[in-house]
Amino acid sequence: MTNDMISAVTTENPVSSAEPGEPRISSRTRLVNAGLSVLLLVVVLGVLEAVSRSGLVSILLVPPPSAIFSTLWGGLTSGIYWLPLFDSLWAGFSGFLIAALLGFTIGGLLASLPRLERILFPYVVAFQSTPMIAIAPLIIIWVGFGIQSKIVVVTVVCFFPILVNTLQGLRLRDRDRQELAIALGATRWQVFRYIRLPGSMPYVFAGLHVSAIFALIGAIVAEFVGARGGIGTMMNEQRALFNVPGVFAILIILMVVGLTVNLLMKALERRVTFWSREKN
Amino acid sequence: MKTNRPTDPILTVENLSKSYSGSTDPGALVLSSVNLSIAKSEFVSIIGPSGCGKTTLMKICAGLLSKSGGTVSFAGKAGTPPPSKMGVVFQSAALLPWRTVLANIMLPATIQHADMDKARQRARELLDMLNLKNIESKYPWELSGGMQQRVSIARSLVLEPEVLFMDEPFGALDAMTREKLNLDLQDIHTRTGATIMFVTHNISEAVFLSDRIVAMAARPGRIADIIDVDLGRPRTQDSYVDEDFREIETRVRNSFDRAAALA
Ligand SMILES: Nc1ncnc2c1ncn2[C@@H]1O[C@H](COP(=O)(O)OP(=O)(O)OP(=O)(O)O)[C@@H](O)[C@H]1O
Ligand SMILES: [Mg+2]
Repeated sequence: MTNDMISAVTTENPVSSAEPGEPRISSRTRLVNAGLSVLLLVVVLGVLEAVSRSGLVSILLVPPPSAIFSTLWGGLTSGIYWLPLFDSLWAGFSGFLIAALLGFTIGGLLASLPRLERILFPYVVAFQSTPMIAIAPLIIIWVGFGIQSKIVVVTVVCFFPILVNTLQGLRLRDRDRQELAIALGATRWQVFRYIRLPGSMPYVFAGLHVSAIFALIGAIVAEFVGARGGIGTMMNEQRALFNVPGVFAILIILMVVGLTVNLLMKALERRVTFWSREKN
Repeated sequence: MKTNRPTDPILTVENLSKSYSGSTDPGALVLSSVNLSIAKSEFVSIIGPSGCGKTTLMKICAGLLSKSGGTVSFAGKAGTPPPSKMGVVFQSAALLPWRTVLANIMLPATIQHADMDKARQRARELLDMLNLKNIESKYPWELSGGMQQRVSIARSLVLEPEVLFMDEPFGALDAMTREKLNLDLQDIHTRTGATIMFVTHNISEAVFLSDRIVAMAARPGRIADIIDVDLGRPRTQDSYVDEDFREIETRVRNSFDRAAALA
């Protein structure tokens, strides 16, 4: 009965309806699933703890989870993570913003200049298929060891997904909408402003979402290959000291940051493109 | 043919032909030598078998598609009606999913920089008339297909067009809603004096609404017959069982069948 009520509500309000093909899940099943996820984590941590303490593997290589958490807790309370973390996040954030601005503007420009787009498209595809992170070492050589080089690496890594997605979104041509635009006598600018731009948003936000994760990776890798400061550098130092719990503690922090970025982007995406999963 | 030449035509189509492939050989023609004049405030329905070129003809008249030969003129001048004077209802509702119902209906006013307050007032009147109360801040995907189509009708009417092109606007609706909207459309037609070109598959709907009915034949699309509907107005639900109504319906059905047999 609860089941019926829930599906009745979801059909009436498509915003919360499941995607087509996805089975409807009751809240009870969802609770059970969440419980099982937590159980899995507890079991894995327990096994690691046991293996590590049993002496089967070196405690130096596989530290017991308890040691990792106490290192993490110590670091958090003494505050050693905050400054490097802020450093990396700042580089990631500013690089991401620059890439978003550039990718979106250039995407818009190319979409309105189809000839130029056709000429440049092979190169865009080529760059997009290259793992851009691989040029991080070069950028360090060109730009130096400061925060600027990190920002440049992040920008380069984030730029192409945003550009390609913007292009793809703006290139969509829906015949009905085009004819509607002609029937209404819309100018080129009005077509862009009222039809193509809003229509491209699901694509643009898919690009931004991917890039937001790339931004974090970009900042850390830039630090791995020489950029000064930041949480990546700190991780590298821990590694050099063979402080494996320290490395794991930072990994956990990065995981939390990554999850947060993911959730933030998803929330933003939902807000802006709320209409997109439902259309047609 | 007398009925093909009203004395005061507002929309005239002469010797119109269309081929989508650009080739001019007869086999490629979707429309061939179509001649039609529509008088001011006249309600003309286009019927014919699926694929005979009804949508194509309507879109060329509305300036949404290029023609391959012939002329279209509006108010005595070559060319199609300017966007400010026409409304179009598409076979699919073609609403923008990111705009609310009200914003969708207001889109023509936004694009043409019309008086927004007046348009908003008119939009609300239309929502009332089309039985769409309390949905102005909903989104198109929250509505049924029939409601979406009614919203798109409201959008086509918001700037009070002189010419209205409608492509099977009630095709997706149940019979009851359809009859109700036919009454509303007749009402709109009488009150605004708009010239209406109405594409439909439904013969009794065509008879109910039209001053004239154009029956098309396929391959190539052409006009097979034009039938005058000399029934008084306003027509009511009772008209459907009227003897004269039934007789015209039969004539249209015969034309329709003959046109279909030609293909
Ligand atoms: N964009 C197009 N490109 C090529 N051929 C087309 C195109 N649109 C329509 N046609 C062809 O032109 C012919 C007429 O199509 P049209 O859509 O005008 O028919 P219709 O009478 O409106 O049919 P229906 O009643 O099914 O809507 C069809 O044979 C169709 O295959
Ligand atoms: Mg059609």
